Amino acid sequence: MHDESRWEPRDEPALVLRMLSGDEEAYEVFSRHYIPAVYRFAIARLDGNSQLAKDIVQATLCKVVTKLATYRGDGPLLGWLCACCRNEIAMHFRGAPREVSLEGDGLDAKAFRAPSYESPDEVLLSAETSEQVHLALDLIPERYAQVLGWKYVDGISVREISRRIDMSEKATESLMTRARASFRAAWLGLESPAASHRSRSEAQ
Amino acid sequence: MNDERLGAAADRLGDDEIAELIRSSGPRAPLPEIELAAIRAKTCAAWENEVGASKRQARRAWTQRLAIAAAAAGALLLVWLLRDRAVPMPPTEVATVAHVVGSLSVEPRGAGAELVSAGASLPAGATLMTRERGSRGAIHLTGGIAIRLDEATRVTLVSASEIHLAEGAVYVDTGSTRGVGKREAIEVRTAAGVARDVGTRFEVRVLSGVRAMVVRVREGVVIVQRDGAREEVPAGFEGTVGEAGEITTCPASAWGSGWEWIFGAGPPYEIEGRTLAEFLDWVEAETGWIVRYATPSIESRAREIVLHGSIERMRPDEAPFAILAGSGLEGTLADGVLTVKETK
Repeated sequence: MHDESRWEPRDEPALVLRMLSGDEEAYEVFSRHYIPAVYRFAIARLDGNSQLAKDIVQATLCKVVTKLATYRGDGPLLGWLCACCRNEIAMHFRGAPREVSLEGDGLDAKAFRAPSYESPDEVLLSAETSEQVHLALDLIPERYAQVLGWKYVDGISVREISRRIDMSEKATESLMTRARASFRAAWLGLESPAASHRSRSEAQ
Repeated sequence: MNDERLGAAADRLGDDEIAELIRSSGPRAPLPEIELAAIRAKTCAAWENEVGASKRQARRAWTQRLAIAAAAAGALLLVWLLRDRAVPMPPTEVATVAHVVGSLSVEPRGAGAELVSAGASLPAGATLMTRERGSRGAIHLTGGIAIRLDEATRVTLVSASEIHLAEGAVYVDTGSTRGVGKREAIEVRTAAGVARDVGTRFEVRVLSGVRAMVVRVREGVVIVQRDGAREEVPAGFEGTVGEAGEITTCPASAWGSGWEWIFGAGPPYEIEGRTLAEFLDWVEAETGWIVRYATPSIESRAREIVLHGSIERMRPDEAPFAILAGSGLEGTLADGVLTVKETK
């Protein structure tokens, strides 16, 4: 089935154009997928301080929506948003030394720190790659992220997933294929040269 | 990103690598919904201010739904007058279980929890719970209103017209815009406020750990109240009641992935003996899409074509494409509008 209502991260330049024209559905997509991702980016750099993360992301995005026209579309939208967020964090801590990496212009490896919720047996990837995976999952439809999590994180069989979502196994396999394609697009959208290398070397 | 680049990415990042990346990264930490709701409200206000109300593109479906909402609002006064005059005699049974996915437990007033299945009757005061991950359920109140429960939901049936949502989310379908007769109004109460329908379909979700809730309206209008504040939330919007009692509204799509949980929670739809038009009415109600017929003659045909077989295990957003193909027609979906036309 081809469902154009489903958001795919590859549509970012069109999404921004639609937001600039006042399209409410485009704003809704932005709100549902990008706000959680920017918040996840911020809270990982603010020692889990949710109140401060809220204030900083709020300030970031309120500025961003007035500068959407300056987004050139030659890099990932989330990378641009995170760069803006990084600047906002820097402004907040101006004059106060802190262990926050603020250099870089996109989702570069230096900007990432280990999320505090990782358990020891999950630290197989570098922390920044793990965060990038989670950001990519934030960007894809929640249903896709959910089935990918069930399958690969929880180790649940396709049969059990199909029971949970009340679909046939064949339809579930098809859903998984679409979910992987969506994740792949999101991952590539976030991909920096470092991530490009990691996708080959670390995932194997 | 173009398709060529995606193709190259597929070569570089195969299915096995994706599996390994996701597995090794572990579960995503849940994000605090109340903080996200606050950010969404502020950002939405800034965006609306930036683009200007005159530039905002109202969805085709949205304007139609507002028209329905206006009509429904006209009926509100009558509904409430009738309701207030009625002698409150709550029946012992206020609902029946229509569908269960996973497990649905019920805790009758003063009794221990027990699992229930489709067909079970539910008395006033019963508390329903979908505790097991992936579990969902559907109930029909005796007044005719259908309610679906998302996973991790806890809801108490006060009467056939009032429920208390303590955890999780419910989807309410009064069915009143589908020509199946006037239904009783319903109140969904939470710790954060009250959502009262005006003939509509909507979702109420309480945010865990805080006194806040989000009401997403798919069709019609919902009145959201908390203390002295009152806001009408129309279709295509969501109203957020924050911890301090403030109510903010923002655009929210009436269809799409955010609503998909209700597909699995509802009872199966039997197509045997129904017309194609009836089936498409159901698709409209389930998905939030608008169904359009390319020509009047196709609409006439849809009222005459009788369906046979089953769509068991097909989702409401998948089934119409198969059914239309089998009927010598085809559907194209764009911008939440399913257009039914002749097969090319």
